[in-house]
Amino acid sequence: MPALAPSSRIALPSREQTTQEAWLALMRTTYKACLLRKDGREIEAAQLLGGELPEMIRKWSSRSGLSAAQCKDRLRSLFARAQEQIELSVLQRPSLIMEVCDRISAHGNPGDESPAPTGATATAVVRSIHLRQRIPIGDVSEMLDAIAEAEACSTSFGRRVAAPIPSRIEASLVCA
Amino acid sequence: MPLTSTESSNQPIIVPPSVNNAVLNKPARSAPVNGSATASTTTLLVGLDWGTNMSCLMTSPAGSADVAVKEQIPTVVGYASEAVLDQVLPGNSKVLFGRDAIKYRQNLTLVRPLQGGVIHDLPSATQFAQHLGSRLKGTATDVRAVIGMPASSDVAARENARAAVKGIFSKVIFVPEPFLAALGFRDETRLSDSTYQDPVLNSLYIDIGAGSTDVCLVQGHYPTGDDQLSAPFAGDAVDAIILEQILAAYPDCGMTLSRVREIKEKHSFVLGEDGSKSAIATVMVGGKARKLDVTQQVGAGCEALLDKVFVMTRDLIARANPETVAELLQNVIVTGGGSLIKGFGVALQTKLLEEGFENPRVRVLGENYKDYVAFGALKAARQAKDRQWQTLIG
Repeated sequence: MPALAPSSRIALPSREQTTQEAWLALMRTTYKACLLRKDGREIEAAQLLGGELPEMIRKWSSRSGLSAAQCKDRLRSLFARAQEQIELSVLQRPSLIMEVCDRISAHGNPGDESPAPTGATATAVVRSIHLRQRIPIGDVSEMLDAIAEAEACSTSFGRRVAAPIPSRIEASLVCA
Repeated sequence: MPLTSTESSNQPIIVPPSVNNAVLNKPARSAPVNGSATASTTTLLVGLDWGTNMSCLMTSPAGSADVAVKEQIPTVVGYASEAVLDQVLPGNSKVLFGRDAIKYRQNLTLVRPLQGGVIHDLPSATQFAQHLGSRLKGTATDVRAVIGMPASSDVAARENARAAVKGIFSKVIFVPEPFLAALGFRDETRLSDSTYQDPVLNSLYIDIGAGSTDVCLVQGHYPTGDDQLSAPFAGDAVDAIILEQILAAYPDCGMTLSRVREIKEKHSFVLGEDGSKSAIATVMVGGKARKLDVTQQVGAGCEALLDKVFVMTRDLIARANPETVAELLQNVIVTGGGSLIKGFGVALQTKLLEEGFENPRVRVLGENYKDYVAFGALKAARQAKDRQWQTLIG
């Protein structure tokens, strides 16, 4: 009986794990580059965009199992999101980059998503509703207000904008 | 919370809350919603746990403490095959729902509208919502629903749910399921009873669904982001492991996921003593019935889930205020479909004990776990102010 130990079932297979790690590294660098540009540190941003990012994209796209078109879509979405969030000044502290990346990645690796929903709106990013303050269980009304507030926040946070992929990065996809 | 052991196994079971004592099937009556609706408006309040595999619906006329309708419906839509003969399906229906769809599945294409607790197929979800609407009794002109959503659901999930129930409910509120479970689990009528242990004061809830496992601390307040852990590893992942291992052992058995689900529901276990009785599955191979011993495969899938839940539980306990942990360990509550795995509560309790936690006590909600979320949703609907309802236009 080729039974696997239960613990080995929980761990991600190594390919998925490395794809996820590659995607996480890509996300962190993208956010970092956007943040640097926002701060006017163009040279450092360009170093990331032109130096590190293309290699990261090559690494991720070669492992993701996705077509070039799908990779481009994912990257467009990532760049749109990163630019929008930085523009909205949601991420003013670099330490938050890691947190946001981890939260997003915790909800799935783009390389292993299930098939696209039928007729349903799908987003690559999960923005869960979480309360920011503690509300007593007995205070249902306040809980509902807090959920509405959190939902409004996550909805505006989740607005999608079309953003071009920087040309040097697009070129790296062709090579991947 | 009244505790009894209602089955012969060593699985601790909690008796369902006061919802079971609610007066059912009383006639609906017109009443204002939280002081806002006009006297001429007949308002029906709905609590809905729209689950991946099973949905639970509870209704109550506004202003009433009674539950008018309480129903569990498998979340599945069956579309008739073109070749199906007349009079085979009830009423010659082209679409069947819930138990009817499962009963006549030989002649239907079954679609599960939800995956991981959120809508995956909007057309079938819309039709399923219409079916739910047909189950509402009475002639209410204003039907308002509080709908449970997974803690990790996103903006798109809520948009899809709104689109699906448009035309069925006039107003909705979406609330994370752990909140509703806590709300539904609490018996407010017993709060003045000194012997009653309020389950929302200091508890750890583990909700094992089909698509995700959610663990959250409920310590007198609704869980914040820091009080919750969610992982996309639950019943569906267990099914996948069991299927993979069965196919590895019996490559030609033609096993399917839906068959695995049936086997799991009947034979799932995590303790050796529960697995001492062999899980024998009958499958058709080349038109012949063949009996397979799948005990080890079922056990492996369930053990993997147990390990995952244990790690999440341990990690969340580590986040709790150390001063509250001793009491928290007395109130570890397992809910969701995963709670039906034989021996799960005891096995988790044992693992926590082995890890060094002092005197942990794990309880499982058992068969009626769906009621808690729906009842919590109904409670929330009763207390919602008019301005808090989201109107569905169109």
